[in-house]
Amino acid sequence: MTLATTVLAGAKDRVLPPSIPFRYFGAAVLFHPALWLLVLIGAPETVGFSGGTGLSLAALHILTLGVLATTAMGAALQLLPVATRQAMPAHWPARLGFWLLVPGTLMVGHGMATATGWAMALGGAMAATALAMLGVLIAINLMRARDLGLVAAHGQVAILSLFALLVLGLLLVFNFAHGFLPDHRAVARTHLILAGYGFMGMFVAGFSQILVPMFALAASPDRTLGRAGLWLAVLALALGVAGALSAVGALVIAAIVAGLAATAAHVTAMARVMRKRMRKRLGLSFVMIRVAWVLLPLSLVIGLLDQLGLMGERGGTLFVFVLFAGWLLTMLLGVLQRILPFLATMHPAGDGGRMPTLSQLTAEGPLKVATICHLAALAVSTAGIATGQELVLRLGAGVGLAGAIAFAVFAAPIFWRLMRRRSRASNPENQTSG
Amino acid sequence: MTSVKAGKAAPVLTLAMSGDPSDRTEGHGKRWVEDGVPHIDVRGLEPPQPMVAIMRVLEGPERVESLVAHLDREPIYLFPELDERGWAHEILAREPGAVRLAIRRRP
Repeated sequence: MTLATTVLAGAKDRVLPPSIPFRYFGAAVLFHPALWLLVLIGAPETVGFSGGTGLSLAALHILTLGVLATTAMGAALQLLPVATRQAMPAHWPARLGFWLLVPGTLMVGHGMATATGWAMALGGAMAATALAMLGVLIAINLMRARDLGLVAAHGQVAILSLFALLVLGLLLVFNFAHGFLPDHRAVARTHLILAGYGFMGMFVAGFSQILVPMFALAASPDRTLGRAGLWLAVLALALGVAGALSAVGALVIAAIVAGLAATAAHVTAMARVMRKRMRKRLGLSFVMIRVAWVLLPLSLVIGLLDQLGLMGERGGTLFVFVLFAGWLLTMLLGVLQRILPFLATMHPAGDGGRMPTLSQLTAEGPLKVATICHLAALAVSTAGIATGQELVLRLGAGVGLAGAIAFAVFAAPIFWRLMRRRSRASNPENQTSG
Repeated sequence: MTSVKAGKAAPVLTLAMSGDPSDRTEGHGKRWVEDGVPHIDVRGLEPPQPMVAIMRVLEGPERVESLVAHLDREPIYLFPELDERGWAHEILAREPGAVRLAIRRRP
């Protein structure tokens, strides 16, 4: 048995079989081009989006469920047991969750694109069940964590937000068919705030406390700033939910101001980490992460201007685009391009047990294309939405699609290596996957 | 805290530290030299500080050739970094809550 497999065998009670997190990452990589394809096809609708079902809503949920939630769940399942030193209580919910989440996402996307009520309801129920199961799994792990106060606190807020947004999401889906909600838009806004800033936002902020210093080789972020950011974010979420549900503009504005203060604390803490880092050459992943740190406050500023009536009729669409495709997608693509080779190095290919190095698993060419295309797609698509120019949005979506394909080309050899490992690992002693 | 002297090829013995538990500094770990080999104890540090503290010694100005790290868990996310940067590693001992890891520069 090689050293690498000895190490992993010793840690296998904590490290999940690679097939579990990587199936979530694989789904994210495949849903990513589907997102841009939907934006490309649905551009005429998106530039004039005013709510309701259609390709825009389908694209948004392919992004949130298919790319963002799958990435978040894959990362949580892989990283949390190691960080908390607590094994996941069971593996089957993670496996079952995948087989509910991916078909559920496809069905939700189909249902929203074609306004098919049963597909939205069934797909929504499947995706919600999957995310609720995974949420419980992660919540149990976080509750057992002994020495990860700030990360665990962010995670708990994220999971609470997840449960709330799932309930609201199901209400919205069934409301399309039965129309029982007194104010569909108010619930939709609350669902959106909880998804973007609650579940995903707190998740990203929490994991950044570990991942950013780990990738940059730097001291942990300032705890005081971290705690301030956490409580300000909780305040912002509470105000935002109250404001969205009650449609009281002053509460929404107060929420955005608190959100900007939370963002300032978070980004300042991250900037300090970066200043003290040991790794000088950070690569393309940190280009994405740094851009994401700019897009987070930008999303809030757009939301504020929209709330004040200064963004025109497309302000809401622009806000949603910058929040989900801007901040969150950019951040998670940055993390994913760093984490995929990193996690793959932990699992020898089964052809002698030799671990590949990070650089051997990082295809710089496709990654460069993916990064440039993603950033260009964001800029062009934002311009297309802001000006209401369908052709400009189509151009942006086309560039985004090219970038997503390039990202898949970067990721493919990593997945190929892991699949080859599964098929070649004939000696049980060399197997670390379950 | 006993500071580690930065300098050109500092002999590892100059890094010797007392065994006083108060030497533990958050984010840096406790360091000493045993039989001419530098040791670092990063137990109790929050992730990812054990990894960062170990890399700080390996990549720092002392130019160490080997290091024994005392951890409370197997540093599975450290191994890819070590491989990438040309360091070999071997687990010397593993007990519940305590792992001893030997790291040496690859020839």
